Amino acid sequence: MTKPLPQGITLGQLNAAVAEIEKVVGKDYVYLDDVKELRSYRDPYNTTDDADFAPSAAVAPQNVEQIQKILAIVNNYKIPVWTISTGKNFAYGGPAPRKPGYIVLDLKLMNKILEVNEKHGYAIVEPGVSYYDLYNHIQEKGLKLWIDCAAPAWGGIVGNTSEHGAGYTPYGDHLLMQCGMQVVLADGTIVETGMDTTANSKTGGLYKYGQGAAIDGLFTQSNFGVITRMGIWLMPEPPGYTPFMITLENEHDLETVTDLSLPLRVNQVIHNAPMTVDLLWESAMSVSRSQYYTGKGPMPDSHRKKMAKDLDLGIWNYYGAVYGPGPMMKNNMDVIRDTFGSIPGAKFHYDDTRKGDPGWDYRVKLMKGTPNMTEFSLLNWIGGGGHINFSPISAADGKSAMRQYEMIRKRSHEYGFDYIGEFLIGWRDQHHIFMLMFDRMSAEEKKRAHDLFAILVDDAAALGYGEYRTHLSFMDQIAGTFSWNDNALWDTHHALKDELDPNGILSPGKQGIWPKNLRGNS
Amino acid sequence: MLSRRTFIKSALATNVALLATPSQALQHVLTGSEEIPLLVFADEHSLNSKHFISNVAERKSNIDLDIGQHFELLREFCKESPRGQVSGLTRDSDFFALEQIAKDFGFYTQYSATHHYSGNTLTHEVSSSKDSAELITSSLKNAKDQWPQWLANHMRVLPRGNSQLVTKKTQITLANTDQHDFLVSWSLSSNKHI
Ligand SMILES: Cc1cc2nc3c(=O)[nH]c(=O)nc-3n(C[C@H](O)[C@H](O)[C@H](O)COP(=O)(O)OP(=O)(O)OC[C@H]3O[C@@H](n4cnc5c(N)ncnc54)[C@H](O)[C@@H]3O)c2cc1C
Repeated sequence: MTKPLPQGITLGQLNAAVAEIEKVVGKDYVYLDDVKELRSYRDPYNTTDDADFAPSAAVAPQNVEQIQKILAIVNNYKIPVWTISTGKNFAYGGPAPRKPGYIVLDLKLMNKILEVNEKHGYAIVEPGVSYYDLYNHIQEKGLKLWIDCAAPAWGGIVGNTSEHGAGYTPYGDHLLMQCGMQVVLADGTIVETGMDTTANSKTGGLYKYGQGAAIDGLFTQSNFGVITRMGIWLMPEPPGYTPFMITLENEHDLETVTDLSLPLRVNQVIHNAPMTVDLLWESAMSVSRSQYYTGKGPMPDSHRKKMAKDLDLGIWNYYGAVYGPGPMMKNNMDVIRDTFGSIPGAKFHYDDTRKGDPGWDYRVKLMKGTPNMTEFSLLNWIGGGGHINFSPISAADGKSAMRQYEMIRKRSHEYGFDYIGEFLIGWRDQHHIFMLMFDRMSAEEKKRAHDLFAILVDDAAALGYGEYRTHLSFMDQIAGTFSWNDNALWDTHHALKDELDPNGILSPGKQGIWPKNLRGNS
Repeated sequence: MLSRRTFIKSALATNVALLATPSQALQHVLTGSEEIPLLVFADEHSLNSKHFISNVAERKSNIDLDIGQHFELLREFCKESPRGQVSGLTRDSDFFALEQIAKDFGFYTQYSATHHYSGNTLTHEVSSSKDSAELITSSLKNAKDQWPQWLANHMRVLPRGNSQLVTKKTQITLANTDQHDFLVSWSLSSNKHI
């Protein structure tokens, strides 16, 4: 196999840089073998050629000083590095870099939990700390705190928050709950944000904004620095927790349930981000597609209805939860029951009747921040399942949700794929996640999925919708849809990039932000 | 209500699985493999996987859909047995997740194969070292519907080492099967300790 090289870099230059990096971190922490070691830094769910995102090497530093030294070396050779923390960004590119030949800067060994403050409810962690790690630490210490994790809990606080990721407790908006960070800039300068920048700081985990411009967000979904530490607020363990699910019989119930949800959500009657999950997503926890349908193309309605009946699921399945003292939960649940009970055919489900159902069980865990990996079962809906997520933001408004749903379902059916999706009401928006699932062993299917995704980006943009996050393959295309006022936003990103990283060594192309030397090619 | 129960069985087998009629080529790989600690995972939701794990010696078992519950077992094993081998016959997603965890301990895929039933056709697609891929593929084919047992018996002779992987595919027509399984058999070990 030929070694993938970054644009404009020779094998000799790469080898020389790697030899210097080995002196900094030790040979054991530099990974070079393309067949075995670097296979795990690729994205098996990629819809294009594996080689498009193949790294040349990976390096795992153990502290900030080593990061500074590595950055000095790659600055010298002008070789790009691609920063990952826990490296589990699957559906959006996994640990793989944006272009071939980058060196992956893998922060997995920087995995210390630096502080957990029970009284004020926050943790300060290094990038390699996974959700499992933080949860286990809290359990071991017997602290009355909950974490909020992404559905697959093997990812981590820093990586997920960097991607604007979301979870399922009332603390589900991770960037909103982030408080203070330490960042290494491309030239090796260490910057603390928020209150930690005061000498002998006492309030780093407590107040987000500090003094002057609040710049934390600049280091997320970007390539302006390497985050080496992050504060995250944790929810105090509530005295009670009532999860519920409502099964809905009809496609158009999405409109009603969304409209009924918004006032309950913004007024904090429902405390977490409620989810409206489609039938196939829910079913995939228990059954595989071929148990119900072995034909080609999207599963016909008649088969879907049979599956819904067998599994006691709705065409839509609405999950939410309330937290707090018993009387408060009772009040809120009364309002929730009255509100959604007005939808014809709506059926409520609780732990006493639903426990043991795989879909229910893992959602109940997620809504209380108990880490698990059950959602990966979805990938077995079709054998050899791969997926990329198309994730447009919708208004938390019934008509808007229906418009997006119908647009995506129509297109996915046209391209021969099932619609598998969910809506997650944040505060005023909905994250709409369309899980575009394909057989990753089939080149033809991958290509079809790729084409579908590309057309969805344009369809959504034409309707006035943009995505909250995306796969490596579509970063440039999506950046192009955020183009108001002659690309003023991306021009600003690029001005910052040129100033902070003149050699363009940090994650070039992340989210469509390119350094000057590569901008013309993207 | 239909409810799917997936059994992930894990077995720490210290004895050798018996080779019924080992071919010569495989026999030499076997030499010296008896002492290699083996950790085996299986998805007992599937009949084939059940069949497989029931033929693996000294097993422990867990039952869940949540592969995350097995990460600690895998980590402990990789730490304690750097020369060991981790194998399984599981759902594709479970293999995917375990492979990711194992890589942090220098354990990489040395063999994997998909086993896919569609209609009355069973397809095995084997990815393994050049010298073993053909052999394993034809053995799986010859084993017909007893292929899970063949795998269990040959767990210890699955390739180790750092060779380039090649892919071979075979299809068999089976009478009277309405199975829908898509399973992956696999084997991970560390390059550094061969
Ligand atoms: C079945 C399935 C379900 C999923 N469900 C969810 C979900 O519920 N919620 C959700 O949010 N996501 C979900 N995801 C997507 C993804 O798996 C998670 O978001 C995961 O947490 C991201 O991986 P990570 O935390 O390991 O981050 P990483 O892979 O470490 O990082 C992600 C990206 O952030 C940037 N980054 C990372 N570290 C740094 C750093 N130190 N400095 C600067 N930039 C950095 C990099 O660009 C990197 O590529 C799901 C994926 C799958 C396959």
